[in-house]
Amino acid sequence: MNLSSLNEKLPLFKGLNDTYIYPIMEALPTSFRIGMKQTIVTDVRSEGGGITTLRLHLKNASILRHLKAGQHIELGLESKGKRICRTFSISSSAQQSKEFGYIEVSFKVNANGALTPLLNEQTVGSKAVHVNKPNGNFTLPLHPAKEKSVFIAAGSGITPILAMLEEAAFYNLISQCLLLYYVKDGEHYPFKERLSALHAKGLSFKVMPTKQTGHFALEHLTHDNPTSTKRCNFFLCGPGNLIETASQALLDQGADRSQIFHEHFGLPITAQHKPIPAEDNAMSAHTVFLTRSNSSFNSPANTSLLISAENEGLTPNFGCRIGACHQCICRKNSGRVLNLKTGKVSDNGPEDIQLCISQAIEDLSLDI
Amino acid sequence: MNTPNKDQLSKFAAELDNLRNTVIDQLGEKDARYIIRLIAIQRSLDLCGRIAIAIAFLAFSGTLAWLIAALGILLLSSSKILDNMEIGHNVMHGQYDWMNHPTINSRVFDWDNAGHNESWKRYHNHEHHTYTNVLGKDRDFGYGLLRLSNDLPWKPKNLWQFFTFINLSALFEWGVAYHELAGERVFFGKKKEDSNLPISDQQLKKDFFGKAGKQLFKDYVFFPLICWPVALQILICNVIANVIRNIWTGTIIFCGHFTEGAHTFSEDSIKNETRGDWYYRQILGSSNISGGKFFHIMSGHLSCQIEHHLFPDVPSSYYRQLSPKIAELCSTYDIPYNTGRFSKQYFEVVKRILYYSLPEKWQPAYG
Repeated sequence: MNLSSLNEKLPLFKGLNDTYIYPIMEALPTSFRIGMKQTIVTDVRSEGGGITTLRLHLKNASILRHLKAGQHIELGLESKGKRICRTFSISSSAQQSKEFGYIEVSFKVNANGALTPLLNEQTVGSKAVHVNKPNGNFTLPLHPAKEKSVFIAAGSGITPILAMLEEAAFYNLISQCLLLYYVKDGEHYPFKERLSALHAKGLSFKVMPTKQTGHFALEHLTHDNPTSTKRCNFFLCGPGNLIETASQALLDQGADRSQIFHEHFGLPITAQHKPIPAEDNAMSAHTVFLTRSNSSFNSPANTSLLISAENEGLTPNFGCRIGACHQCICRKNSGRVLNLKTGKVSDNGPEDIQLCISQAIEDLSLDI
Repeated sequence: MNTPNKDQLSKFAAELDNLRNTVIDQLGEKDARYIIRLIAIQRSLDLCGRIAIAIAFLAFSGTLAWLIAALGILLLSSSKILDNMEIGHNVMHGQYDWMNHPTINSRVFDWDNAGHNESWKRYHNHEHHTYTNVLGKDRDFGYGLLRLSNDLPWKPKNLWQFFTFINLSALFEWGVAYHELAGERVFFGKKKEDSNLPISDQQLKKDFFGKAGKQLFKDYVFFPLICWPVALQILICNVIANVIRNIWTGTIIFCGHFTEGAHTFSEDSIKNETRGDWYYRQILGSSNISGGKFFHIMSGHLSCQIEHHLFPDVPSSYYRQLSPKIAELCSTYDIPYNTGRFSKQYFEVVKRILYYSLPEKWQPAYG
């Protein structure tokens, strides 16, 4: 029996840990951090195509017990006393991760980002990177009753799919898989070697250099896949427009919604973040996704999140409405906001924001 | 005292904003480690205090037991003071929200105090800090129990308000918890005309009794019971530790707003208030206590009440270094900066409480 299962079973034990043990451990010169798991970076390598892979050995690998291929994980790093957290797709196979107690995440370094520029070769050996439990529903169905699994990936959207393909290879199902992979450069693209190895095991796979083939079109699929749409499962991962076009095309072909699995790969990995002037962005409306209620609302220009939520008939908790009382504070998952009190623009990762003095300057996801 | 004009006040505000931004820009690793370490120290004191009290009675007897218990009480009350003052109060003001830490933030942090954290944030952060010493708006002014200005009508109960003050000090956390909850209104149905609370009375009651129950259970049921044969002794020690904490916190807070020079304001005077006016009013309504680093930490830097009221969300450890700069700025603009030794400030509070316990016509000349 380990610590985390004791924590779940005995509230008193948890109380003791939360009140005394954890705060004291965090103050000691160890890499222990409240709310996250300790790791050590054992490898950083380039995958080509501007993608970097980071290998993290977990001190206690029990959180990987329920890991499924295709899931993502939150990485946290402290910079100037501030925790920066970002979610990354796990690119190592689930079997490998469980067996050796490590995970690999792959990402495109975003020079303007807060976290990825810090994850370079110098991180090897460091205990500064922490992780949370893996999460996500973009996984292979437990019983692959369908005859064929079709994967459509664009850019770094390949990462979760790579893990899924390796899972399929582990269960000897790789010959039933087809991958369409949209890349910039048909010669040098990320994970070339791992994909060739999977190809050798039976993966049907086609690299689609977008300069020649253009973005996704239905012919790309039907040309190589004579199987009827009804007998396939589809896994889409990439930017929003790829998912929209591909899903629509598949639905038009008679596919059922239950056959289509997808993962939006917007922030933070593929976003081409130029620091957009906050003033420009404050002038336009943005969509706010609410993850707990699984809904969304529109936040118009120059309006605080609290007011726009209320205009949409929502009733978030609030108090003073001037940024003083900290009652409307809520967790932001992603997206940047403008602080109307200080005029400062936030990070795009998860953090607490006050709804009454925050304005969306891009699409947001909030944990309410 | 000359009131600075609008122009001077706007320059004054700009200089204060500038000071604030300088601090905000340098927040980093050092500040994060400060609060994390302080919390660890506080938790260790709490644990050691409770263990010392238990061992005192379980393993020793007679005078020696009470001597060891006294040490335990000292540790436990220091822990409670640190938790309420330098840690809880400041974290709940959002001073450390920039750390993006899962537990040290104003959204989830809770303290070892009878006051419910949500209610406290509502009344303290908003009402008290926005409307400091505005009569009819800031219910912290006299806590609805004490008459500290002739602008408030005299009632016979004010005659013995010195004893009310002593009681309030000993039971400070309960006084504040009850009062922050708009106790009078919720329990006796008195309505304020312009009340627009975003929370129902039922929720307020639920929060109050939930937190009160939790606190009473922890100190007066749970910890005594796990040391069963000496439960009564543990209970007594916990009561003493809580009372020590209450007297200390109450005293520091009274010295922050109810000294002789602390001004009061009318609701009309704060209409159309500019940022400069607001800063000016915060300074006039607050008073500092001078002292060393240890004293400031134990008082949660509420001994730098002026700095705290100017910048409630700036980490309190910067108040000490801001204080001389602000005092200098105040003297440039001819704004009174109220500071003094603890004994002086406390004496003024007691004097003020006694003075206003009499109706205006019976009062001698102040001084």
